[in-house]
Amino acid sequence: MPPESGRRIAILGARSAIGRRLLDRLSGSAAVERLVALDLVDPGAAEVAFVHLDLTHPGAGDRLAQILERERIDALVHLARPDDPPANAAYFRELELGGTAKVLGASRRAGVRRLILRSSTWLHWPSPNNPAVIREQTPFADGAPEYVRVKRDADARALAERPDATILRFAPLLGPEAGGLLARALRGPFSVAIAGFDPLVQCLHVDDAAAVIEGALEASLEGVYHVAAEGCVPYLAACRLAGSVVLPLPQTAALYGLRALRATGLSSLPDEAVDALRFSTVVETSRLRAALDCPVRHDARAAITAVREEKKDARRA
Amino acid sequence: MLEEHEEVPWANALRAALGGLTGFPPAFDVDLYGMDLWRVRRVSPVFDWLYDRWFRVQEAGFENLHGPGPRLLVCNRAGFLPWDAAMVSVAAARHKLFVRVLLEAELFEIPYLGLFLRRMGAVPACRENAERLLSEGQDLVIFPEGRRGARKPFRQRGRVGDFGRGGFVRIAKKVGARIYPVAIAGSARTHPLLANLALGSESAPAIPITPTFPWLGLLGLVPLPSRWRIEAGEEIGPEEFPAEGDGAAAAEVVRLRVQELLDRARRRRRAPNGQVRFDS
Repeated sequence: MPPESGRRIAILGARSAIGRRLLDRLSGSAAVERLVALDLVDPGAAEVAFVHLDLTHPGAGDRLAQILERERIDALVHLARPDDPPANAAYFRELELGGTAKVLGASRRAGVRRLILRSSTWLHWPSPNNPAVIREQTPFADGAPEYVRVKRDADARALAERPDATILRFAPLLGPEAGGLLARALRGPFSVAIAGFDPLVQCLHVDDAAAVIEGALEASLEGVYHVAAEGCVPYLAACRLAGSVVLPLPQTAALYGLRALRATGLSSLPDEAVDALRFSTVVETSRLRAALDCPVRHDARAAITAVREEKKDARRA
Repeated sequence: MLEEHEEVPWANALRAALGGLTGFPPAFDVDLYGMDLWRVRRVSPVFDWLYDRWFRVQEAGFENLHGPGPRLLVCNRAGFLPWDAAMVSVAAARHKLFVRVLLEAELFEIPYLGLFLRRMGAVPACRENAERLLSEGQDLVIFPEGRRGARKPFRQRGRVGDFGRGGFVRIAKKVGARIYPVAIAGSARTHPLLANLALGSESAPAIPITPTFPWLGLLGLVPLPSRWRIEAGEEIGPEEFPAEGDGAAAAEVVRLRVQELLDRARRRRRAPNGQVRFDS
């Protein structure tokens, strides 16, 4: 595919918070010739072709390959990989493992040159045995919940099949519409904390996540890269910055409370989520910063303060 | 005795210590390892008091430490609460050395205590953390005995336990750090450990049994006012390590030096009446 004619990019999971921002960025870019958005729901961006695709459908692989061939796509961005603990474990498993396998197969068949996968630093699950700063090659800690292990398997599969793919492990996302444990914890008026623990929080604003993907499309990155905003903030301070009131609970109370919520169907958080409030996951981002003129604009504090602004706006509206 | 300390802002120090334990009010400015330097300075009068009045620590040999480069202070560990780590830090600070302490990771899983240790600059011991801190040029205090040292029965107090596979020697070589043996005498007497009571599952840590803990509850965590001596030895140069063999052999070289120092320090630990006593 001749790059001088402009890039032809497909975005899978275009309705996600990152996907919509990425569409906004790329649809204005002169270097992009064709932009295809794939998702279950139309992201509603102007000048973007939308194609409905359900990655968990058995025929999705063939259909994706057809679309990629027809549109002569040369770069595929796979964002349909949620960070949230799933309410439906089987669906999640199919989306992660089956979906990633379909994306890998289809992109190989259609001869897509660049493949960018979204992943998360939650894959290094918060654990007392993690080093203070986690590198890309640090082995994963034990004690991660099932859904994180599924994501690890999907990543491992992608790395094995496409060593030239880019896997961007984003720190917990913050910003409008961002999902994930941190965004959930800070979103409401109250934030639960475990008494006697104050882990360090690393985060990334969704705008910056989109900017990094845009940068990664231009540069040639291979393998796993950690992406996070500059600096980290202790969790209790983050709650204060985000304008929420902290509810410190003893660990056992939090655990049984969580189980009660899950039993009544009010929450899908696994038991291990308590560990996320006890231990930190701080990742080293120097690999990305060396490879890319880093377009991360918000530092950790700014990203968390933005949550407070969002809450204010929501209250006014 | 306390007149000279009257200007010390005790209330502030205790408030800062309580804040470090509970996390409230929240700390905003901490480093990558969770240390809150402002709080470390604020709390220091408490540790100084423990050093001078409670444990009446004598230090010796710290002038040995003034070589260039990052230093790795290898100490013996005793007492299930890391008072020895705190006292070594104070002793080093008195000699213008700011050290970071690596402690067994299981301490950081304990609520309040783990948070306090982090805020005071302690770091969970692992290879990556040690390498990173040393290459940042920080001086480190390590306890290669780890949790085995912390859970040493009282009757073994004079014995420096196994130093493992000697990963720290390899790291020091790689980063170019100098290894110094440091012996701490008297720390085992803060919490004379009679037994470790293992209850329930394997993952749950064993409960230490001392004459005061858990019988007196939280009051049992108050360390007994034993008399300490901290002695730093001369650098263990790279030529002293066996050229061949595994890390365990190199670790044994360091262990023997710490043991030698500890024997000496225990002999010199001054008795209350100022005389040297030989039975400790």
